[in-house]
Amino acid sequence: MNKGIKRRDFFKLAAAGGAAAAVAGCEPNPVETIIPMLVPPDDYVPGVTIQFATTCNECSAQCGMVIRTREARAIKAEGNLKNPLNEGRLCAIGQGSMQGLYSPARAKGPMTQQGGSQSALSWSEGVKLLREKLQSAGGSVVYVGQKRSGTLEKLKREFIQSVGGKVFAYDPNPGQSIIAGNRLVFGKAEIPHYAIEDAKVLVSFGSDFMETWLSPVAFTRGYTKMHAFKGGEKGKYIHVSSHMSLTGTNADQWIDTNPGTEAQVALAVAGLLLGGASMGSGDKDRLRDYLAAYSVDRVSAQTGVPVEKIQALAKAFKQNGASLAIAGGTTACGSDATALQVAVSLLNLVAGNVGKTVQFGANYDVAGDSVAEILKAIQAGPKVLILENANLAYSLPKSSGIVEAIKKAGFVVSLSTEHDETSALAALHLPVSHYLESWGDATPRQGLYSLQQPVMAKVPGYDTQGLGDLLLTLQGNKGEFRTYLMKAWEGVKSKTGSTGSFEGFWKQALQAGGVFTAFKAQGAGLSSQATSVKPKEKKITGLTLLPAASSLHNASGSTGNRAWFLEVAHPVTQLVWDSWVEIHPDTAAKLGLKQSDEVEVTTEHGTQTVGVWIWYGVNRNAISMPLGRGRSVAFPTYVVTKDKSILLPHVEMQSSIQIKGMQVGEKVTDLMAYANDQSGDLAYNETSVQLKATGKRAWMVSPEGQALDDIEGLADAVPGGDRSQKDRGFVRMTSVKAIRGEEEEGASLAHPHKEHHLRERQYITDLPSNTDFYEERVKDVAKSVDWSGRDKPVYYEKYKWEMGIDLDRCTGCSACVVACNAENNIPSVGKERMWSGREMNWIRIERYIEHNHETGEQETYYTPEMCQQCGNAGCEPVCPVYATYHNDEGINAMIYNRCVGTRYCLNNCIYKQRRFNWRTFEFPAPLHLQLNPGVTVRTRGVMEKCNFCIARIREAKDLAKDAGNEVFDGAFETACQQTCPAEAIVFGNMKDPNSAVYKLKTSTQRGYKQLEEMNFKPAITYLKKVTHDNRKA
Amino acid sequence: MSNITYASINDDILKSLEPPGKAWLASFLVIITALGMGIFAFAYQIRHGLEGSGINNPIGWGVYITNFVFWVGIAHAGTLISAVLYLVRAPFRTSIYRASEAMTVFSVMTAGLFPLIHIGRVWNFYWLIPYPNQRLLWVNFKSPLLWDVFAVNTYMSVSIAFFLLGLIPDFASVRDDSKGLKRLIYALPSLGFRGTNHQWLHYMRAYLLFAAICTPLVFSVHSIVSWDFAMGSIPGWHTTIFPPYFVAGAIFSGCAMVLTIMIPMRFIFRGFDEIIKIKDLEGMAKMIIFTGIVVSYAYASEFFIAYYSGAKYEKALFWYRPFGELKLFFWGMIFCNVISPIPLWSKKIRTNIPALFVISILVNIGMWLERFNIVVTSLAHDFDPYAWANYKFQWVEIYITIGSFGWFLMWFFLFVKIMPSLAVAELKEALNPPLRSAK
Repeated sequence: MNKGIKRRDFFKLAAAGGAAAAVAGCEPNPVETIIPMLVPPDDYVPGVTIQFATTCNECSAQCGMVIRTREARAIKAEGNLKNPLNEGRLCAIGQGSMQGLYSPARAKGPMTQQGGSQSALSWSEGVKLLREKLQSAGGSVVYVGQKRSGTLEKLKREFIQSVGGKVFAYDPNPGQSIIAGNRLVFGKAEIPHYAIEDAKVLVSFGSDFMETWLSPVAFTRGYTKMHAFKGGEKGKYIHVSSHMSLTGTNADQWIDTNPGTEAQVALAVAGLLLGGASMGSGDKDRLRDYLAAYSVDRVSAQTGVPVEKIQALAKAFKQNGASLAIAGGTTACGSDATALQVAVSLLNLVAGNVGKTVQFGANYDVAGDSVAEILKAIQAGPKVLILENANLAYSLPKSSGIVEAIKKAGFVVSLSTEHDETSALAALHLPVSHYLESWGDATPRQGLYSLQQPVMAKVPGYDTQGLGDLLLTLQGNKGEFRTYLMKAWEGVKSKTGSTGSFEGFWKQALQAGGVFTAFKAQGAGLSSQATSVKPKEKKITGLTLLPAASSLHNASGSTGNRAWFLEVAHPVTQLVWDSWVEIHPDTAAKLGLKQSDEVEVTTEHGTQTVGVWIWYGVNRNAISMPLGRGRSVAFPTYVVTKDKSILLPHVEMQSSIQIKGMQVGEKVTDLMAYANDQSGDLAYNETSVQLKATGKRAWMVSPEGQALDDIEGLADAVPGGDRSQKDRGFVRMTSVKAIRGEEEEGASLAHPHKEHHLRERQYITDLPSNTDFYEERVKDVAKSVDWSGRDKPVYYEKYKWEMGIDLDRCTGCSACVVACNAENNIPSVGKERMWSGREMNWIRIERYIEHNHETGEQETYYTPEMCQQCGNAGCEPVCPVYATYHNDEGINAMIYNRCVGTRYCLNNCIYKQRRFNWRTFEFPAPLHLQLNPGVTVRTRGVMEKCNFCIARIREAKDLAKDAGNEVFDGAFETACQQTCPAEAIVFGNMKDPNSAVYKLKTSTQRGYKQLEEMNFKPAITYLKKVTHDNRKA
Repeated sequence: MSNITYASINDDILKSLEPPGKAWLASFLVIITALGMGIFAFAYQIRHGLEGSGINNPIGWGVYITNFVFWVGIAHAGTLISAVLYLVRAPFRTSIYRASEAMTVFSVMTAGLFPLIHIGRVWNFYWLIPYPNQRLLWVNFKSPLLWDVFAVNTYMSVSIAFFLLGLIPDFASVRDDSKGLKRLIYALPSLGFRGTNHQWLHYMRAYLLFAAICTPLVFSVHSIVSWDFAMGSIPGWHTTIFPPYFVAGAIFSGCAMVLTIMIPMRFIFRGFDEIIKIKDLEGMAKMIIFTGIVVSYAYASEFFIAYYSGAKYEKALFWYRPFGELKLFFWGMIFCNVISPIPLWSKKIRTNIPALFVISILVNIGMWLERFNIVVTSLAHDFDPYAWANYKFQWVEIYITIGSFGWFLMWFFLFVKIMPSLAVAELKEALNPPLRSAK
């Protein structure tokens, strides 16, 4: 896709700016009408998507975002192409912002709470009350807010400091330790730019940089640039950790360490590399003394990593500045998180990476303040405690005493947009508007100024105020926050050296989503304090609890009440609507546990009952449980009838979805012992656990349909059971050497052409001339059309939509699945229906675990699967009513209205990519406002499936028609393609020889079709995964 | 034998038309309750969607299609007995063909409901029929489902016509025995049949003609039903053996069903046991032995081909059937269809009424399981291991299945009270003509 703003987009955004002003100026509480925007702006065209550039606030990374709106309602989040941070891509959680905006758990308006009773009050009353309390507090005020950067953060600090209080930004992910580590080693207290894209070898010490670590989309993009196969080369990624999350499963090698000992591996490697390091001899001597304690043998004994592996790691890491080590993530961060960062910084220094792949001067503003400080400030019992979108009561361990501390505070005010565990403790709840309804900005790193504008009027029925406006009002009616922001941006204008009028600058910034400049990369030298911190000695006693975040559930738990994130299968385990405990097969065997057994996980702080998931990717001395589950706020139940009799009817005449309290999974932080690092970061991996089988089987639900016999019966032969693709070639591999022609392909890995080699012939049923089935049919049709005198239908005349999916790029993060949910009005069905096989997702990430016969190790592979839009489809001929048919652009189109629901097409689909509406699924208010008006909402009894975002194709064709030309390549993207942070998906018109998909398919050596022997002629070409030496983590 | 006369046949058979007794009424109440359960469940399903059935994402067809194939299969024996055995002049046919033909009609009527019950939007069922409409919508003749629509409809109309044709002389004899309104009612379907030589001549020609028309239907209908599967692409379905395999299976189950119905009738209506002779039942048992062998051979050959072809999908499926999560259905099928008919080789058991009855029930169950195996296990375990699934029964489909038996039995119970349930005229044909002096 061609980067930079296009003429059409310019007009769209120009219109958007105007519309935004018009929308933002609306009444605070517009009456909901059937047609919103009854008196629209002049340039508004119904049915056309208007896009607004803004900034994502879902996590501290603050990526650039573009919101698609239709009829003045936000319907979908996409990445902002102009923002160099995420380059137009978005993660799953960013996609899920729509379910935050339209969350049924949102607070309806200001209210006071006392005991269990709640009473509403008006904004003026609320503000008056808060102002009085602040005045009488005499400076004993603590404000804990969501981590932000930019003007809003400044305003907040100014205001609270003006009343003499303390302000904190909260993010439960460990970030302060990185700053502390760099301060100690280099004397630079900042989060530098980790240039993964420039590295040849990347070593991650536990950091889940594709999921939640600092800025996952930016890192995934960097990783893809470095790791995706290109021009005969690809980088290498080694994951050193006690737990393999999604990020770890993507590694070329996983080095399993005992929990909490990653730092020692880094120091051992640094010690090995020290001799060849180019640095002053004084520094070298100092380091030699420091590293002497971490000899390979000693570290090997401590960490459980074999000596040869450490030596090989050191050898691989020696790249003259083209390697990079990063560390972090919840599972690796304990009470010596700073020491881990120190170790990794030293390693980077020794390998000569500082100034090359570790670039200072970027100063990423993405870390929350010290959790220890926040806790101390609250425990001090301030007279007024303001909590704004910081869900402390959920995300901090119960053992930290946070709930009691909050209760102890004089007057607790919540400014949270949603009801949450923390706002439930507040005496006064003044809900601020969602960030997509309000103004703001962000500077996630030096030189990036990202604007945040309201993309629509406030969601009808929710009486909220923008945080900026509220803060200004509290200071005494200082006007609108928008004016304040514009004034602040005058400073941005001069800083970025823009010329021309401010009006023009502002408009341009709004259209582009901000102003983006580069930062000046700097190196750094060894500081005098570099060797002052040492990682703790670890004694392995029993099992350690590793709470792990993922691309679908983060430590803050913000996705824990969003149906998309519960329903989309967790990529590694493929489990839905649940918590689980990941146990190494050996540990499980020792404890006598089997897959899906129910166990009690006990620590000194509590007990939780969850199901066992046998997983080779966790250390033998540890178990892992997911973070971000077990929220206890009211949200749609999506729950029905498990365990009721199947013989007696349970008649549900009413809607089965209610908004009520429902807990999904377990809140793992309740089990954690509170501890913190010296930097103040929350220590995650410091709790030891005991496991006890309850003797029952757990109800674990997964869309993964591997036969239970295979998973359980084979558990002894194959640890974790057989979850392989049974040599069916869905994911195929090749190696760098094989592409170069240096070895035979796939000597050891699952490859369908190896087995049944001799009999392969029987499965190829190609047409003799190798033409497409429909090309033949066209001739027949043409003959009869000639005879009847009607217009001739022509297949594939101008367009033939096809897709390429590069499995070497796909990380399995599932952002595409969430994006598809948002774009195509796909309902969530709940755990019980998932269990009954009633899932509705049009795209899914299939995860296969293969046994590498050569290394004897297990390897994890992901492949996104959706309708393959076959040229010779199984579904089309069997539909008795032509409800599914081949359209002239190569799409297996679905006419929902014509479908009678025989489900024959589903049966005959060899990819099993069709979804049937087993009932009329519901979208409880206000989630229904998110529905895309361009896509039909299906009712019970009809079949549906991926249609390559045909609504977007239509839109692009309509716009092209208006402009009098053809749809050009990149004029639109499918939802999955648009969001993919790894750019694994390429989509376009095969009839256009300049299109990216044409070029990809005609030039690649790695292309293959899944189940090609069935001759369905799928339109999706997969590109083989490329491994180093036929092995992978 | 000797004491059966024209008169006794008339009396014995027409006695079944007497007003119902308490036992009949009580049974009928049970039947109506079963039917009510089915109707309730179906109404629920229309209102709430198909999630009350165990069908799920990869397994798009389940109990409903199993029932459909099961009932179509049952229907086959009736036509086979009445048409094919008529053409080949098999003597044991006479006493049982009427009831089996009724069974055919009613089971096709039952089977015909299931395609409607299983579709997602039953209120649009007529879209499956090619009818001229202003929207210029047409049906897809490439779809085996559409062939089904035609096959089943043709079968239903022809078998109803054949059934009513066979009843003409018997309706006439009921008419002759009755008075008043009843006489008038029976006069209508008798079409003025008086039993003249001339009428008999034409009647027999017409009957032969219909028998000839019905005969190919016996083979075509179930072949077409089997194409629903054989034309599919998935392992376990995509096989050329299906048409003969299905036809043999249909006759197998149909003959068993004839026994399941005839043995109680023989017990309930006194006098029938003299007409429906053990020899006739034995004939049915021999049919079961024969078709049972054909079916067993088909099972074996499916496994052999899966092994011999080396096709991994096929192999995996045929491994899954006996050893996978749904293995009980497979072994149940093997027991009922392959093992349980083996005792019939012994004449002693073949002529033992209780044993025959038990085996006939087992074969019926087995044939239901066979269809379940074909429909469900194939879908549960096809190409993509990620998409594999298991089948869990739900109450709606169970209720509807119970309801389908209620529906079938309701018609059968009405039939025995309204129509002569054994062929009066043809049974008389088999006797020596009475001497004038006898009566």
